[in-house]
Amino acid sequence: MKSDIIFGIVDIGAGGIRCQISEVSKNSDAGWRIKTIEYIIFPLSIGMDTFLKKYITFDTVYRAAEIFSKIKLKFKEYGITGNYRAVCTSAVRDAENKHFFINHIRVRTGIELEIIDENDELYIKYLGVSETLKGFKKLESKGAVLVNLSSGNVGINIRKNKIPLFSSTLPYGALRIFQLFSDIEERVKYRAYEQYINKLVLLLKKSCAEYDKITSVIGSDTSTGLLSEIFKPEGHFFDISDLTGLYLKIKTIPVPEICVELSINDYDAKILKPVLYVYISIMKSVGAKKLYFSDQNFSDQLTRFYLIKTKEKKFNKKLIEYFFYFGKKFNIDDKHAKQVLMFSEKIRRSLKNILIIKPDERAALIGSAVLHDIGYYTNINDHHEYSYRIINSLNIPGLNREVLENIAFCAFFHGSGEYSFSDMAPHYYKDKVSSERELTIKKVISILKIADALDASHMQLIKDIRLEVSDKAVNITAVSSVTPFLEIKFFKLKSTDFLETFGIPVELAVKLDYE
Amino acid sequence: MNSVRIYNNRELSWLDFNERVLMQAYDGTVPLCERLKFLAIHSTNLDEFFMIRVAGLKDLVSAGYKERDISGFTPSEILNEISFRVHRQIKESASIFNALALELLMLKILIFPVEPFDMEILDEIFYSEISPVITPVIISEIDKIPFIFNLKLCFFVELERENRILNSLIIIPENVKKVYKIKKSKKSYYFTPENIIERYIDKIFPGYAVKDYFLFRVTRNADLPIRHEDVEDLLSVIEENISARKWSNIVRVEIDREITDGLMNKIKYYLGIDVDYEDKDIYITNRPVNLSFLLNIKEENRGLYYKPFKPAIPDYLKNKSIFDIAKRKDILLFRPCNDFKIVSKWIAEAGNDKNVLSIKMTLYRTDKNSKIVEALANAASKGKHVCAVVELKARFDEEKNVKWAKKLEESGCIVTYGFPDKKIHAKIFLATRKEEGKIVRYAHISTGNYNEYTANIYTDADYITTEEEACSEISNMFNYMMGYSDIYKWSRIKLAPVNLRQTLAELIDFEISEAQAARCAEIIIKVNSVFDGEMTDKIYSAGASGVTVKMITRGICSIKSGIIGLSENIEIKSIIGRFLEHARIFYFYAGGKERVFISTADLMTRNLDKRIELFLEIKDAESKNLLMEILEYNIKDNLKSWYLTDGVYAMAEPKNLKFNCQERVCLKLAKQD
Repeated sequence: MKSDIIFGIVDIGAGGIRCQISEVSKNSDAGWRIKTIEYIIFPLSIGMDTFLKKYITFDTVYRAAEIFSKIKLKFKEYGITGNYRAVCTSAVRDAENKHFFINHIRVRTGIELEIIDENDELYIKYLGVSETLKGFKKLESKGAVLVNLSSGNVGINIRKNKIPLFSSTLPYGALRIFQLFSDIEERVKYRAYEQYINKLVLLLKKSCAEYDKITSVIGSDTSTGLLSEIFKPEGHFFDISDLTGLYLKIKTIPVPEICVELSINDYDAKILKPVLYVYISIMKSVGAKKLYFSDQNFSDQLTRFYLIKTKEKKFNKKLIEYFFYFGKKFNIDDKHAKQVLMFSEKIRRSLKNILIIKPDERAALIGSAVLHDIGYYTNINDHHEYSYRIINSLNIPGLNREVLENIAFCAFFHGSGEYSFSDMAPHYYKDKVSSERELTIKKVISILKIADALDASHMQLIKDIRLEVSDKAVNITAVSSVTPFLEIKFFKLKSTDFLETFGIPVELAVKLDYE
Repeated sequence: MNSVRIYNNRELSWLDFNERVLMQAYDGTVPLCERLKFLAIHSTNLDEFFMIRVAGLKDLVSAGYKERDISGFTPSEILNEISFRVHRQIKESASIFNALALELLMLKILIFPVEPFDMEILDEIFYSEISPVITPVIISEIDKIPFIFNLKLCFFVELERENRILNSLIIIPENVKKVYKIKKSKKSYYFTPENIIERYIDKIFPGYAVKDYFLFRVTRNADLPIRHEDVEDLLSVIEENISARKWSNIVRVEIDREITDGLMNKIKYYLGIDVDYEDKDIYITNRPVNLSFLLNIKEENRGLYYKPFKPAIPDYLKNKSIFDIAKRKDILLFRPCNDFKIVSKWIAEAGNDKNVLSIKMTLYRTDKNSKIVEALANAASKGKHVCAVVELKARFDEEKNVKWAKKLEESGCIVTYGFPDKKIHAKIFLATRKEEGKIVRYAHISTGNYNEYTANIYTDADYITTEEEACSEISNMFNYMMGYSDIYKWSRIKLAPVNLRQTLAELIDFEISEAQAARCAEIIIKVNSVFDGEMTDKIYSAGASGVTVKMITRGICSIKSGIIGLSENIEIKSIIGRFLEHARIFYFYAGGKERVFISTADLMTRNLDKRIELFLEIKDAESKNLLMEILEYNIKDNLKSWYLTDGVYAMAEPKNLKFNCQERVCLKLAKQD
């Protein structure tokens, strides 16, 4: 990447379309520097349509196209052609006619919109908060729930000691709640909100075994922006007493009066009651007195994420911890997983001069090394199929859905048979995988199968391996205290993919561990 | 605080201002031809006043509205007072005109010479230029005379033929020259078309005897919609009775000489004027009815004009690019002492600069053949992203503005027209440049229009900065005006109608709290006009709390100074000089921080609530000091200053040192390094 770049982010949210133009430069001393050149909010209630009617009305689509025409001009002004990302969240994601919306904008303006996966959205927001909220590490290590309360959904990310205990996106967004009960009389509407939101808290308590270990609540998204506008806090937190005081004051009064009382717009007034009660009820459920927040907006977070490729510091290390955390839940053979991980990493490193392994491929290798046998928990015979299903059901913050799915495919194919489509039911695999992606899967499986074979007995007979790579072959010398018959047998069965994928044979020699 | 006596009336305060303009024509220290110009300006100012303000008041009377305004007058009382004062001013104007004509005669410059003259040239002018375009109309036989357009000069002629009296009208067409100048025997002779017609009036009606005649013109209600900011304060109160408003009603009749009762009754009859009610609206001028022709008197003798002055270019800007200088320091220029071409050339430079990505600017009133409009069009034709926010509603300039807008659109500019209900009055220019891969924005903020002609005669401040926060918010301001969005946080700049009123109140409140705590508190406000109930009360509160308030208000001022217990600490002065004072500068002592702001806003309700105005604190120390010095010069001025005391403006009486602030500022800026 060049040292300076003008980058555009368009965040298509439930209440408006936000366009941010940033200048990103790299200073070798200070790292990346993002300077916001322009930040424009175009109010447009896409969420009102989606959460009430389940689709985006023509009128909204046309008005969005007008807004995108202006954004196009803005891009032109700064010479932005391809260097932008236009990201849709739940308001478009949950609309039945989302593809029409995206296509219409593309045809009318040439701007390509993409729908961001809800887990990615949650992860990007987590990264934003973790980077900008002072004292985040301390809060996280003690146990914190990150509540990403947006218009359509609420993203919940429960973390303790840097490990995500629970991560999910649930349809409890503030606007969605408002719309859900729009037909109820204003005077008692708050009771409906409360019942519905109480259900959310109950759900969290039931789904997260360690919910009682949480001590802090961290909010993000436009909901905390709205609270900031109202409370104008000096620090980065709101007191529960202030939030409760405001809620009690407004809970029975209608939206127009809230607008006047608090000098806020109609949209904000509509979502205020659900916003307050979601935060208050979660805070109460964990005994938190303060709601922490970061004032970094989503557009900033997206810019950082896409352009600087922000990842958590020591992301792979954390990823390994996450995989083992989830593996533990399903009783994986911890020692075997560690051994396979060590062997696959050694093989990967030894191949670096002849083979490029991309970061996502490495993540898939790590994930499949740890989780390939996770299906044993359910069914020992068809464990590879159950591994596939369990892995696919996981939510791992920061890991996009495709990588997780690749891990699941690798787990499915890690057996001794040759990698083949026919092994997999068509609905799992077919039409889903591009040839490029298939290569990724093949690369990972080829390494994984060898690493797995080297601990086929699950007894860690082979303590270590040494690798020599020449033009003709990859030679693995396994160091073992006894002859590892199972490992030798399975190595033969599982190493054929390696030759097929990399065009080079892999050979094993065993050296007994003595001097 | 809204009681009857503490506010000056808006119309009367304006008439006071116009009288101060008239007094410039009387001032012997002003060169002779410049005095003629002031006489003409006084006359044209009155025309606009009648078309808009008097017309609005008449609408109130017609609608039966009898409420008193904050100054304690009912509409009909104020109309009486206006009539009284305007009659007095017309009389003064006539006597000044005659005195000036005599002085000019001594210099061999003759306006409407009575001495015998070479009729051949006049014959030529009359027969070849005037006679072919005039059409006398006999009106005796008809009830309804032809429609006489607003401000059109017209002769009423009484004729006799075969013992029969006939009446006729001669409407003077627009397509004749305003002034004919004849140079002969080192003398200059000036004639207006009406003066020539008068000399040939017998020839126009062959076969008739001209018994009597006079020249007159009517002023009509300008067709301003009820929501127009110039009349909204008056007409919004009769919104329900708006049907009472008659468009193009006659609001004033001017006649050039005393006439007989018979002729007076005839003209009233033909114009449909109510005999009992409208007498006060008839003005006998005893001088040429339309004095605007005086602006066309051009003499070669430089002694008859102000000494020419060369607008200065500071040394640090000579032969330099503004882009290079502004990167290092903010630039403050003060028109007309500083050359406005510095700004207009920079705008042209921006259009040709390969590093400039975009140019945005507001256009409110600009001059004919504007180089700035050309520069924008040129930039757009070179593929730059150019946005112009054109305000079409600039009074009486709408047609001109439409022409620029078209020209800009044709060349590829993105032209937007602001808001239907808010006039864009802020003057801002923003150039975005890519320098070594980085975006750098250059903003120009001015108190005056991008008009190269008026830049030579209006005083205004121009400020150029690259300060990021200011530039970023100005960029947002363009987005706001171009309809992108209205959700922004304004912290560095303040904006009417968003937060300017509140900001001013907070700044004044702070001074009040300082004064109440017995600490130094001072406010200096230099604006064109003050007329807003809330602001007036706030300034009174400041004065009453012990804040030293100095108001330099050229025109309308609702505040009265010297009211015991209320405005003893408030000094109000008006400077009327060679240049039209137009810069708006605000100073607040602010507990010693001394905060200085420039703005496009006057303290008028329309500026604070109905216009897009900008208010910017000048933080750059050098620029701030210069503005403070300019304010100090304004306060020190004792040659062109009028002080408002007990409701009356009186000229300052210089004791020892004579101080003309306009000259001093120019002198200072001419020496600027």
